[in-house]
Amino acid sequence: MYSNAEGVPEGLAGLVMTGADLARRLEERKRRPLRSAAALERLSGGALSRGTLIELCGPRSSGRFAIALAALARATRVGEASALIDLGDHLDPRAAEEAGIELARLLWARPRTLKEALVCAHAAVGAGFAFVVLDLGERRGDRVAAASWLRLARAAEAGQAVVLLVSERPTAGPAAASIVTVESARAVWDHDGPPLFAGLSSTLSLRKRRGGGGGRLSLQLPL
Amino acid sequence: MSGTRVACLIVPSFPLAARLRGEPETRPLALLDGPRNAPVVVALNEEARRAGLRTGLSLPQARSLLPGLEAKPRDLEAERGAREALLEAAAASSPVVEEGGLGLLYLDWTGMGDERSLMRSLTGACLRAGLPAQVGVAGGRLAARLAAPNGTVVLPGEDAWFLAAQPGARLGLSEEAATALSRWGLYTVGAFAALPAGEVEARLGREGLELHRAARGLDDRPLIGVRGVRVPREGLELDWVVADLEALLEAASRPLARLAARLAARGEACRALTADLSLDPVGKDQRTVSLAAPSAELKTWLALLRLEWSERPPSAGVTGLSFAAEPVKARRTQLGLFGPAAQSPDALAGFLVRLSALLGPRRLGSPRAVDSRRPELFDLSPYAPPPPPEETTSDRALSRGSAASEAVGAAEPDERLACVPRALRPPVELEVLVEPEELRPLRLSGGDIAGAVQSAAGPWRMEEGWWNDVPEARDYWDVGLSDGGAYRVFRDRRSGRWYADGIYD
Repeated sequence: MYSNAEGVPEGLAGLVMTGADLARRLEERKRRPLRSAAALERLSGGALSRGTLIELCGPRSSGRFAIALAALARATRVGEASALIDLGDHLDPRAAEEAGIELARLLWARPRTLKEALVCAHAAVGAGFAFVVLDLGERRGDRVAAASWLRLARAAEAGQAVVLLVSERPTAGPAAASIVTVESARAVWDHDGPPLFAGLSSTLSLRKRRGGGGGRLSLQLPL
Repeated sequence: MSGTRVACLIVPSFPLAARLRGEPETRPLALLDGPRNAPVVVALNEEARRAGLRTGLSLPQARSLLPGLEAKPRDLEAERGAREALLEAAAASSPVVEEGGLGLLYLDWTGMGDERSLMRSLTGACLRAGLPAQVGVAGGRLAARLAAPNGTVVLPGEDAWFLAAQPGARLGLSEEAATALSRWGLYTVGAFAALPAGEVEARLGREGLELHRAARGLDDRPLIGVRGVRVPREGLELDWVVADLEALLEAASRPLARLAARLAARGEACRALTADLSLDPVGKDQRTVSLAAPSAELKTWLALLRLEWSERPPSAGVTGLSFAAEPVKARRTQLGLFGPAAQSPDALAGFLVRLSALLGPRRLGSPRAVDSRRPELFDLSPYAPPPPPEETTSDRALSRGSAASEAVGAAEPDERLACVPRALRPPVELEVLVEPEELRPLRLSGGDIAGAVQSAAGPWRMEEGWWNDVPEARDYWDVGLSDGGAYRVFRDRRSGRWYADGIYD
């Protein structure tokens, strides 16, 4: 930006930029990584690159839903268009609000089948959503062709979106750029006095990352 | 009117043109009107004319001349849509449009500039609406109407000269007046115009006098504009009874396509679509489908109608369709250059409507917490996110490629990770073995939840709705099961039954 531009009034100087500056900033916006799941960022050593499908797998009570909601909270707070495709219809809006999600910025879709969920995710990416969480919930047994996941990954790449697929076990196969699994998880109970449920403790492991790399991360998820 | 310029827009054989909008008919075709037991031919397509048919024949007469003649009744629904489309095309090129009859409009083109170019754009707009039109321009209505078939522009002040050479039969006189003129030996408009006005009035009355003035190139009556079309409507009457959903959608696609094209030309989208069905043998079926976001996409409308008609099919076969689109100006938003990219309003609207059609009602939107502690309850509001916040310094730091990882930590150091329950909607009923005194759960099973309770915390009492007809009284427990899962379960104090309404995950 011009700070001492000739002919530009003092107060306006900070608001004026050259064409080159403008082009550079637009290019920066395109390359800017998505700010969402900090836990996954810490695990993979950097922000999530746009245009990828990331899988987060873990059994029941492993903390995967909490990580997904935290990611949505962060993305909605910075103004990224975010969508939750909630196959199991598990979102409690009050809990989501308490988790920090800006509900007005979140699109919540409640499909009934895996096929519908995939259509929703595909359409969301096509409509310009930068962060799409596809939560398969507790659903078991539903299957779709592997090509569907590849198509979704390609759509994410074309739309420069991040798709976070939350499932019980790895589902997307080669379409996923990264696979994070919950290696171990346990419920934490506070036994000082009458027993109280205190939260979950999980260990995440980066099992696959396009471009190599791996790592582990322990998380405490207090209630 | 000195200096006034009037354009005349004519769609020849308007009822036929309306019927054939967008679907050309290459076989000889006659359009019928009149009493049900003795209809007469009121319009013919080019193929039928070439075969020697003319209007006014009865159907048996026409078929005796041309046995393979296709005959269809007038379609009033299609004519109504065509009239509206014609008015819209005309309104786009003139502020004042007067309706002169079926498929006949007069437009005020005073001071409008290049008339030839306007004529081309007007006929083009009519053709896009599926209506082949003719346009003529002159100083008055009559000259403009007679100029239209040849696409003539009569120069200012030359109306009388132009009219003088026109055949008298084109004046559009009543049968009685036309007979009188031919009896007097008057065969041109000029000859009629040369008669003394008083004599014409004495013999042909007020109508004759007005026509006489027009024939002399005098037209000082101002154009009376018609009201514009606010809610566009398109429809058709079917030649057969349709009972099958696919066939109904197929039939609906033609008027809907015309409606979508008209809305697009107006720069508008539809926020609610009303479908009026005529049922066999009598009766109406009307329903309105609201769109999650304004849309002018045919595919989306069809998807919504498919959903609506498959859930609540019409009570009888359908003989006619008519659709009205409640218009709304297409959303325009200034997208920012910096900060998180906002979504294109059009793409977003199309997406919302398509998904609403796919998922059905109350399955898409922004979640909203309701005033209740029962986690299975929720509300949805239409998805209309506020614009993204302005770009901050930390955003800019984050965007610098090499420093990305450091910036991540710096920008959001305090991500709040908390254990959140997955709501089970509806709550899963459980069979529970309880410790008799405290009613502490010892073993649970129900749905895909089963195991011995290893840890349990509770009970927490929740009561609400005691002030209305649906009170809720629950004793909540957090339990850890032998399957490794942590659950939120409750005992309904009124029924004594146990349910799981959340899984800590």
